[in-house]
Amino acid sequence: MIAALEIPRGRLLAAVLAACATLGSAFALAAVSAYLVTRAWTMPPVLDLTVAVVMVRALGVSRGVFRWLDRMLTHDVAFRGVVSLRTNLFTALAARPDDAVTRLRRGDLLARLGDDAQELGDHVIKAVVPALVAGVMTVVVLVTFAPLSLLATASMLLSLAVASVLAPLAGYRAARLAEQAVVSSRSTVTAQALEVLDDATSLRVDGRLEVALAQLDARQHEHDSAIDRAALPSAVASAAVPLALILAMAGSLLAAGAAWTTGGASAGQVGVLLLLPLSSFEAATALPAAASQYARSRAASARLAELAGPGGAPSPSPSPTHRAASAARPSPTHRTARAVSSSPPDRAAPAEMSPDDRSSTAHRSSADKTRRLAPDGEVRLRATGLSAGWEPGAARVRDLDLDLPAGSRLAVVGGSGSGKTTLLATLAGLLEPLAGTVELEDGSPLHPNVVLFAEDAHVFATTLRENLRVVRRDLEDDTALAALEAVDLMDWVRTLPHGLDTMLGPDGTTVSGGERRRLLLARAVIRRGPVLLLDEPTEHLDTARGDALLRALLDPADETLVPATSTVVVVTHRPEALPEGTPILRIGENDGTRTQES
Amino acid sequence: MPRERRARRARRAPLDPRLVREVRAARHHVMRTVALGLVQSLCVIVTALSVARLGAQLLTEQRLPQDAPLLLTALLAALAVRAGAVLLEQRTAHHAATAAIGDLRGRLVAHAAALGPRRSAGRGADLTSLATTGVERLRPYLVGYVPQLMLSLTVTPLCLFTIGILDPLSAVIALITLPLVPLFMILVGTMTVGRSEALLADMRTLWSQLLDLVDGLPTLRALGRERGPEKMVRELGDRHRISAMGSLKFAFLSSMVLELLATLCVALVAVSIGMRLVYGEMDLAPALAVLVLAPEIYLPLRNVGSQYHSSTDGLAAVTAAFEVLDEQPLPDGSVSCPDLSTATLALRGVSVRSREGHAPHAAELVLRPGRVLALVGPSGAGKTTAVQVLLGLLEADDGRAEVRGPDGVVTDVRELSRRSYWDQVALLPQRPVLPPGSLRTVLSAVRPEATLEELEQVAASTGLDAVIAARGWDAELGRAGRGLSLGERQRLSLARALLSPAQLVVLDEPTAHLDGATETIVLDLLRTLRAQGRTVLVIAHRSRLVEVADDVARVDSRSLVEDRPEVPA
Repeated sequence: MIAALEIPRGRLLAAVLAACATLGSAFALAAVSAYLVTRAWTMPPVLDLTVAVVMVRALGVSRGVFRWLDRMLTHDVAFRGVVSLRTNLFTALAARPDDAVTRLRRGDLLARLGDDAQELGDHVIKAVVPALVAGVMTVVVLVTFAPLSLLATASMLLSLAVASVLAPLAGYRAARLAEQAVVSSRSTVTAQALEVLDDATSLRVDGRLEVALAQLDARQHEHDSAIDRAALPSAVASAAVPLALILAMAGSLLAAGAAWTTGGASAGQVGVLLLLPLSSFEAATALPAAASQYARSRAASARLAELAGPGGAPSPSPSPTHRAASAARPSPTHRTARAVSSSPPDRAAPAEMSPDDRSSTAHRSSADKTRRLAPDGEVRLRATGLSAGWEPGAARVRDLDLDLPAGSRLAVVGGSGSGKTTLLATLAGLLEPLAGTVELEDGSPLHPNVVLFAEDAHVFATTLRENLRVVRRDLEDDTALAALEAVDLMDWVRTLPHGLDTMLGPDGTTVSGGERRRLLLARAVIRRGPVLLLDEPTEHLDTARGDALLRALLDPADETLVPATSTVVVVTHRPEALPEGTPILRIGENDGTRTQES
Repeated sequence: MPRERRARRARRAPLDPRLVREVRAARHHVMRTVALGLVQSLCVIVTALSVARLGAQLLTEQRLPQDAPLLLTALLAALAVRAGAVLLEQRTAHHAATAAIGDLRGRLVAHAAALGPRRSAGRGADLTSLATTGVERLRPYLVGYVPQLMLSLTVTPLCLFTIGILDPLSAVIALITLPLVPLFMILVGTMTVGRSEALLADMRTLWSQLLDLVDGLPTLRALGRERGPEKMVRELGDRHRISAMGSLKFAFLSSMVLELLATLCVALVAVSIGMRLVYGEMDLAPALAVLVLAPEIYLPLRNVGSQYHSSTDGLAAVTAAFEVLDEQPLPDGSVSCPDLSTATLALRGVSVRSREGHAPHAAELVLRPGRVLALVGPSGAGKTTAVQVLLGLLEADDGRAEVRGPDGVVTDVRELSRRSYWDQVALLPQRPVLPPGSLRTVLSAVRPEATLEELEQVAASTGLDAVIAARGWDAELGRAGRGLSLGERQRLSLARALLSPAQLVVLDEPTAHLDGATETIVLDLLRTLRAQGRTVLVIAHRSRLVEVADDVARVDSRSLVEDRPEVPA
């Protein structure tokens, strides 16, 4: 998974070198100033000290500068890695032929591509670079001590080994224990807290609040004792460097004594032997944090690998994507261009995301489109022996045969949890059938001829217009307004401060349940595909309004919402509101399914 | 805007006084780290003095370190004690963080529950994430930042003091460079504040766009539009990287200043000592001791600087938590609630402010004992809110909820002892809330003396019998999402309402997630409840529920959007 970060080696090397220069500056400053002071004590001619004095002053400045450079280079490498990783994952997910995306729980995608990808970026900053730097610095320290005294070198080697092995091991163990505690017991704490917060009202009225809070307290205690097991190893990791220092100091002192009394070293060298051990462990200090980061990134990496699918790590994207990205790299002009083309600026515009938007590629993709899209009015959707469900052996819908010629209408009804949504996802090709087949008669692919308008479809945090353009990029305002009128949303649109340009979502206008539902329906109206599958398009609407829309969808003669040639399948809770003669598929009754005319 | 201001205010005090005052674990932690900070300071000073003395004796008197066992022991003991102090400090810091997090989370959840539904109108999502993940940010703050902060308050001044005794000139150099740290920090800060705030805002926007796009992938895939956005993902990611690097460029300037001044101070001290040693103006031992101590002055400061983010995150969480804890819940009343089988409940001109205006606006309803009242109104009119006001869970901004006893005495619902009121109420929210347990225990919990026949009877009249036939009386409910399905849970809640002795049954859109068959069950249930002489308030979306009701009350919202002038926030 680390490979999917596509970290440029040159940049990584530069970052490591800058970090080594930072730590090297401090180390050299300690060495030279120890040399300077003890050498000065022998009262040599002042000129003899000039080089040391200049070096001390220069090193006093260089560390700060290198630190800045090192931080910048390291973060840049990490950010680049995260961008590549996220893009590769997104591409891999979008291209996954199976139903992995459909099976994701809401929020999982965000957690993976947001937090976990970030975690791997931190892996570069907190684990990869510090570990490489610690390796280089160990060599530097040993090479510095070697010409002075073998005894001192040996004790430094030993103490560095203690610090660089004990500290990371303890840090890793602490991180693993903490991670286990989070996995095992924090979710139950969180779940209990959420339950109390979500249901506070009824818990209070029922008089069960105190019990629920006591339960939360108990869960919290369980979690506390689990997470506190990480405290000791974590403390050991922090204490490892001070501990190693004892050994280093003792060895170095004895070595200095021996070297001076036998005349094997100058005063300056003795000064270095005496004081330098105190400044030799800076690189090792970062290792416990590196080890715990390693533990976290391993877990994140495993989750990402699972997400990316059986192919393991997503394949590094081919260079064309790179080129496209660098062509699109933001520059002031680019930003201005965006601001003109879509107002308000600085907003993701889902409809603009297709490569077809770039005029250079428009030709190729329109050819592509004719190949994939079946011509209107000629498709026949057929399901044979279809069983649908989320887990093998737990089919929600069993052995269903469906034959929907072009222009047909079908209402799907059934008890709560009987598998209506599951059936639609399977018909749309988003969920693999447990058994049987779903196909279009002329052999064209389900995707994108059969389109599912899910109940929980995403309303993008962008303008109303862009939210409609998701389904058709050449959408004109007239068409958009006509569709909004058809789904009875114009009253709402008129109250919006900027009409079609109004921002929706958390930072913009809040969309209520009923408005959201009709907005999603408007997408279907605009899409006009050969086969439209709609999941409860009129839920959360008041009865009169909902029933009218339902009738318009299902009456083949009514073309206000969908053309007569389109096949429409609607899941609804209101079979009594269906127009006369609509075929009804009842599922979940008598553990079987049957179709009837209403 | 107020959030930004708050954040900046929080940045000024590195230790929240309320955290120390009100959270015991945090208070003990701070006191312990101060004590351990003093121990560590002493260790640092003893180390420096003994190394210097050992070195000077060696160089000037040819006396080997092993010939001065007392000094050698002092040195090694100081190093060992320091390691022990670090071990102890970190270990207790983790325990303190665990305790403080648990403490704050428990208080937050309990307080938020007591605050009632109002708080969720303002910041439901905020509070949820604060109580779950937000308070966890206290750990890096208490474990990483606070100990370093305490070290900078102990090690730094004590080392400086020791240097002053050994060599006043070096202390002067350190004293001159030390104030440069805040000076340059402020300078860098003011130079970059406008730019980096703009960049941060830009960064946040790009980040939320990116996440929005990622969140929409399943939808794009369902719409057949999944190819292409990966370019946008890369582009947004690259733009985010560039703007993040732009803001980091400035953020890292301050760490550069800190490092620069720290090493510069050591360098200046070293050169000054060296020059005086050359001319014999200084002894070797104090010179060596000062050289060892000089970097220690700055070390805690540098560590505090590198933990800056855990401090701002932790402090933001603390501030947000205390803001919630500061909100006053509705006080409980003292008047005992009259028997609802004879008393009438009413809303008089109740309005509650919503984001867009009032929902409900001037709601009127009268709920007479033994009758079924349907509350209707368009989506978002404030039907649920009106019921919450009626139940004394929420305070109306205008108008009032009252109960009129059979004796004609009218009492404001806010003055009622809630327990005496709610003990007569069975509330069925849209999403059923059930305690853990088996089907049997959960059902009979509402009336423990109920016989098996009674249980079977209510099960039969709510469709729960089918669930029991499939799963058995002893089936465990499990948590939401596992065990029973939503429909099955709904039936169980209906059965509980039927079995409970509560006089008033409140049903919030009981058919929203149900199919026709279950709707019939609800309609039958309403008739049964009425036949038992119970009072029913049902929030109805569907016309069939309204047909069963004896009375219908309508609520509407009033939007203020149109007549509100556009004022930039």
